[in-house]
Amino acid sequence: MTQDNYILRIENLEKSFGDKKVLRGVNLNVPPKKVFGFVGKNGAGKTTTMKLVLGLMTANTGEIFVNGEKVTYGNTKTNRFIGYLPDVPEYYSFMTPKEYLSFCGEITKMDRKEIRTRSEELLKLVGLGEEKHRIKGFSRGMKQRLGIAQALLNRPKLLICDEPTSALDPLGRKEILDILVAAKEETTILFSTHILSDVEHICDEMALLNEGKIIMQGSIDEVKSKRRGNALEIQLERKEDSDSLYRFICEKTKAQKAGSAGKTERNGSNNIILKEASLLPYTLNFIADNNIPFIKIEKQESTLEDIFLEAIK
Amino acid sequence: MPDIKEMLPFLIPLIIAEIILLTVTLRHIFTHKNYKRGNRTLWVIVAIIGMEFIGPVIYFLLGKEDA
Amino acid sequence: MTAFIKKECMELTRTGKLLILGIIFIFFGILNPAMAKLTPWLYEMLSDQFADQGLVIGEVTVTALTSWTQFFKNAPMVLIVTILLFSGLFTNEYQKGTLVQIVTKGLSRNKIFFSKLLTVYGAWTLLYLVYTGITLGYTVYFWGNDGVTNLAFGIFMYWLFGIFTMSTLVLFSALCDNSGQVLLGTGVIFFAFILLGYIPSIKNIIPSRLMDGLTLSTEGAVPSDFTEALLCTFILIAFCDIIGVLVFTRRKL
Repeated sequence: MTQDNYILRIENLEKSFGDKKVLRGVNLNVPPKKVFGFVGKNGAGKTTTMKLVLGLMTANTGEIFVNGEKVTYGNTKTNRFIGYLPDVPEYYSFMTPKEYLSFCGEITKMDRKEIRTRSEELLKLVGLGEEKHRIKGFSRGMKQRLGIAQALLNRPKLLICDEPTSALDPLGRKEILDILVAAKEETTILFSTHILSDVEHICDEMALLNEGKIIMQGSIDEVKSKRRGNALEIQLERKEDSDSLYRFICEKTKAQKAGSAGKTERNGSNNIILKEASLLPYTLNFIADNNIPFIKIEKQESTLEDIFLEAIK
Repeated sequence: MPDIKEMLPFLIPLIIAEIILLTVTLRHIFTHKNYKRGNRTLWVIVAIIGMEFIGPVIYFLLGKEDA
Repeated sequence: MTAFIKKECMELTRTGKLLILGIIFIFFGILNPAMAKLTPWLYEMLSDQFADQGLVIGEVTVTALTSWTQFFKNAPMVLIVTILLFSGLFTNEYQKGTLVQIVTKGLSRNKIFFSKLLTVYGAWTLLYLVYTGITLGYTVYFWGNDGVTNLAFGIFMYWLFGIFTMSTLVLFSALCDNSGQVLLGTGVIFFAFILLGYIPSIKNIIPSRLMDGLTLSTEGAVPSDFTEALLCTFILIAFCDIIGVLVFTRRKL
């Protein structure tokens, strides 16, 4: 993949506010037609990065390319490729959703017919098709959904969503995620969040931002496998079996090498965790020899949560 | 006092303008629960006392909620 | 750009701003001749008081000029009301963040700036026409229009002063973050020019000179007396607009 094939390319981006360095050299490549999760705790610099991509701030150093074109501050031409959903979207409250979309369509120079069909299609997608009221009394979830509709209106190549789900209740969150998955068909989505289950649900790739740097980037599987341990968890039916198995393993490891007591541990009364796969043959032998009934033996998957917590330590 | 009949061409439109302005303002005050600052009683009083025009202007400037 | 101007107009009508301004301009438009009509009666009342102090006031006759005197006296009032209601033109959008979304849709900031500028110019022009039209109608009907010279020029100059004030309003809107600051800035400039008007050496060349349209009828001034003030005003309008757009394209939204 050549460099210009990336829909968004960020090179060595730095930004400080006064003395506070918010971004310390961010590098990021977003391939097209993917849902890209941009993860980091609050204050990690996610919103700052997005605002820089949108040309709403100037960077101290570094360059940003959207669809191969350089982003400039002020009159930002690259914004024609981008649809943006701010964290708390605000609209002209004296308009109805339909009027707002047609206004958006007109300023992006779409033709009349296209505006009509596209806004009907999108309002239906976000579940505001029947809404005739002015935006004035809309709930947060409704505004968020309208935000997605306006962001997708002119078929942007890149959809940027700033914490689209953070302020919503579980139902509202699910609605937004479903809409994003549906939108993936036609565009690349970059969305920031600190809710990791959202990333696991809908993202293809992710980057983890911490203290102004990308500390991890790749597909969800890659990221997970990087941190995937070799630990195994064995769950037995009876407590006494688990006691004897634990004693057995401890003796075994002690015989091998002194000071290796940390290679196994108990997890509740019936579970044993093996931290090294090399222990498995002995263990299985012991189970077979003593006819111990067991419930499961499985490899421990690390969740993004674990990875996140470990990475930002 | 000049002849009231002579003043009618002025008085009638002035009163109509006055009433429209006051109606619009009061309707706005009564159909909104929240104001940028102050409460309903305050704004009703301001609108009526400053009726000739400054009251409504002050309300729309300082009291009217944006969204 | 037309789309954004359309949005501005929709905002003016739907939020009731245009209605409020319209009623106020109509109100003052009628008030001018009404005050003129009441003048003899007011003088009568005053002359009773003055008579006690030994002053004698002669009979007053109301003419078209009386009505136009009121017109120029009340014009600052309508101008100030316009400033008040347009003080949030930009700043309300900064505070709500609505412009961010428009900018991220690729509408250039120049276009947003000039759309808003044209909207205030348009609104002032329209409202001022209503104000003038009503006063003119009443005045001509009651007193004919004799005794006023170069009235159209005087009216035009005040309009231009309004345009200048709107330009300073927009400039401060580009500079400031909230409508209070905009009002303060615009107000300071407005009153500063009125005060500067008392300094004889410069009073004839600054924009506030354009408020003296009445002197064309009362003190025998001729339009060419205002050339310098007109020129100065045009330059200041251009200055405000250019600085305004430069600031606006660089400011944080």
